[in-house]
Amino acid sequence: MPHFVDHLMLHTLVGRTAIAWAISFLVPLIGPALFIRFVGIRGLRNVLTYEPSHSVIHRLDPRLKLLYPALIGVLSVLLSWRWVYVLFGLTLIPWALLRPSLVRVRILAVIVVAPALLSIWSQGLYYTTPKDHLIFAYPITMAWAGTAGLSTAGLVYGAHEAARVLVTASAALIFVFTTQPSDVVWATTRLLVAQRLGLALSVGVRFLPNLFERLNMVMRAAEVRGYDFSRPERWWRPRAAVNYARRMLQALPLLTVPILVGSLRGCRQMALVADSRALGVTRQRTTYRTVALGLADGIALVCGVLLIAGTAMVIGLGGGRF
Amino acid sequence: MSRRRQSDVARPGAGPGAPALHGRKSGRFELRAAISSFRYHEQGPAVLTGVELSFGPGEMVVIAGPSGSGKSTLALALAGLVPGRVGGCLDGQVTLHSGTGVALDLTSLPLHEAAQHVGITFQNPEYQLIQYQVAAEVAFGPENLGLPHEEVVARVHGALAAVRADDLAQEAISSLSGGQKQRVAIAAALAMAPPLLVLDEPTSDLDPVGTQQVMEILHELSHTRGHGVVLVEHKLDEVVRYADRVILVDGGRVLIDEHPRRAFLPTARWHAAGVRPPELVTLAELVPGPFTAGAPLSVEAAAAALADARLVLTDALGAQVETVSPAPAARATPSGPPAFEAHGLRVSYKGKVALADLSLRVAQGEWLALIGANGSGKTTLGATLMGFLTPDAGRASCFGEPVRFGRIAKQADRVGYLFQNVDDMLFGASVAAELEFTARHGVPAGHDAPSAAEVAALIGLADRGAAHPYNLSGGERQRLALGALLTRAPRALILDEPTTGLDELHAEALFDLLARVRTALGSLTCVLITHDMRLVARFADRVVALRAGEIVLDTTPRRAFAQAALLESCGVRPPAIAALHGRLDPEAEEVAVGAHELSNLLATTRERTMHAALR
Repeated sequence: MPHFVDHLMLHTLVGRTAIAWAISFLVPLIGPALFIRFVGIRGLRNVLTYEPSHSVIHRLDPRLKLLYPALIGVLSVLLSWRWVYVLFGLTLIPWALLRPSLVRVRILAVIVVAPALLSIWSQGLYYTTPKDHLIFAYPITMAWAGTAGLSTAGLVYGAHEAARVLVTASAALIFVFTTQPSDVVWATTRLLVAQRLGLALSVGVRFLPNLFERLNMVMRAAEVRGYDFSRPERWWRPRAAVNYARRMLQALPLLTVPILVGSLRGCRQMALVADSRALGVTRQRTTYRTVALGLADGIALVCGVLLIAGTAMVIGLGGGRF
Repeated sequence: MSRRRQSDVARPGAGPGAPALHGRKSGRFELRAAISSFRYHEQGPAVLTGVELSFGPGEMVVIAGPSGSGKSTLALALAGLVPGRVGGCLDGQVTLHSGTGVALDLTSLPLHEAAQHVGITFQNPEYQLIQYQVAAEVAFGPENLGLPHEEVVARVHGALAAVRADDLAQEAISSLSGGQKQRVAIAAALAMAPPLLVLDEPTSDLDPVGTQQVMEILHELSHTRGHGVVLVEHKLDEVVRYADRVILVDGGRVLIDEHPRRAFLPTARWHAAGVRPPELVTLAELVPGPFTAGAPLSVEAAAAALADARLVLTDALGAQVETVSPAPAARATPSGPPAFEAHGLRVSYKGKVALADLSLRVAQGEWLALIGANGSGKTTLGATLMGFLTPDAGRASCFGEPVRFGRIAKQADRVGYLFQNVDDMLFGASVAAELEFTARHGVPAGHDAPSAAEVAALIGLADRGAAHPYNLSGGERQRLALGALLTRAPRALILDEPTTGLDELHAEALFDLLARVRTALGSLTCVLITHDMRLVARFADRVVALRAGEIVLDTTPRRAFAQAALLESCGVRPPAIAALHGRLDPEAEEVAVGAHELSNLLATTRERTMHAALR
């Protein structure tokens, strides 16, 4: 019997077409399925928002935290992919010190890992040359897909790209999760970034949870009016997931109007308030808050310098990308 | 568009009398508004006409009027926001005269300079607070002005102290209650050191105790620190005792500008404008004898006047005054099958308990009012009964079936939930489309649902079928949202703060609608989540007061209002008339809830006293 199944799936046109369809259409559903299962629309409010805590990472100078993702991003471009994974490992150290809540870990895992998986999958299918070894060659019935099949070289290249996605996301999210929006403004101002840009960033981070809260509220209101947004109980079944996605997509126009109107009204008032508080009238903006570098900041600075020196050494030893 | 250049430009932080922080008195100034007309569009109707007003230091002025009367536009004009920032055609000027004789035309000043002379706060504090932390929010203006660090720190501390929010300096804005947010918004305006503050309905989302806190702070700012305070408000019952002047605006014109003891009498002028005068004033009009010195503005003043009057009566007749209470009504006990049942419900957010082992039964056909301070658990309870939230422990059921978290569409087959912000509930391009939404998304099986046309007639919008919901007034949108729920023929309704932000006319229209719904659907169960004690007095069979997620009172409205001290501990104040009755007769188990009712009782008291004396 197993031999028959093997034969049917791997050596007949119908079986190979079915497998190719699964690779092409089921794998991309992993991301949305993970999202539906572990985050959901209602979990969006916890994405990209500050999480209060008293960790050493929270207490670091916001300027250092703002520089951190920029530094990691640059280093990840310079290093070869094997070393980028090492760098990714190093960026997990601040997470270990931070000990984020389980809710955040779950969301983090989904929003970081799902794009990485999709990157590997897409490159596996489309980063191919005629000489590459194919793990699974697509049958003639899938010629319209524009790929010869799933290639080893493509998967490896996808893993390279995924490494850079992982390392950049890991460093950037540390900054977002541990820095108060008011500190974002302060740090950007101190680092000579435009005041208005700093405020825009701050307002974005401050109101993102409100926006998701409002989205949640409007969805509830639509449900109260009879629209069904409930997640499928058997979410792993493609039909249930597709129906759920269809219902969500059809509701987009429904949800957009109240959120847009509410946001525009809010923006108008916010602009009035920002102007009345003299935003941008002086180039020499003073600050209420004064920050002195402490021991933890010193250690963080030393770590940064060591990281740069280590990267230079690795590049010197041939571990660079270029 | 009439605009004049300013004759002088104030230096940052150097407005007349600024800064009035650290307990210092604000200096002398006078804000004069002389507006012949203001239109939002050149060809549009005049929103303000013939307005001649002036405001000075140490004065608290309340501006009242129906929705659309122009009072919010007047507030914007006083703050120098029209025509420059808001846009429109202004014929007139708003000038600030300092003690030194310098006159500034606020309509010509850049907004940040005008804000250093007249600070403004709006109804919803959420969008006025753009920083994450309280101290950063208050410091934002002084920082932008480039003031020295020491001055910024002094202004932040001074402004927070002025609104009694020193202890909130390091708190995240998102963790604050509505009242705290409004106080922080006022502090942020104060940090710009304006001698005059204009506040547009700052208490509309606050519970009675939060309202009182904000009013006490504004009173202190005006009477102790010398700020001028101009307050646009609907809640006259709660704010008028603090006012030095009351202005009635209708049709863009100032109809009344008087001391509050004289402003409301005769009340016919207020009723004609669609504004309900304070209940105590209505009482004074019904029983004028004790109030010859003017209308009472507080329960204490009314009680004193009545006590004096009673004393005269007693002395004259030489008889003992007998206080009469309304006939006691039997306590409403839930009977019949339950609509909602909650057993040991426990809900917490981020470690904070919102409901603490709460048990409750609401009988079918019963109208229950949930009252309590902001954050006491009222909305959490309503949301749990609707399935929006999942309890940490305990269970809830609805018409005998367990409420399942997240299965809201299923729960909505039986229960309609009216959100506090009804704009979140309107999705259609017209009133008719809104009412047909249910038909498109399915009426629950077995429901004899009314047609969209029937509901449109019920909610008084039959002739507005083509209108876009966002072109309706706030009260009409409220009725439309309620009507949209009724198209599903629910067996129960949960109404979350249905009268918030509504003026008297729209609140009355909503009350009429609720009365019609109650008559039409006799078996309808209703849970009212509200701070509006008029709504409670008029519709509730039973009142449940919550404090910190626990039920502390469960009785009829009249009995509940008799327990003023207990209600106060729940962040609730009984209506002024009920409080007055309770003060006159502290032993009363039930109290009157309306001016007419109490006036009848007072008459009865005198009659009984005379009868007793004659006997």
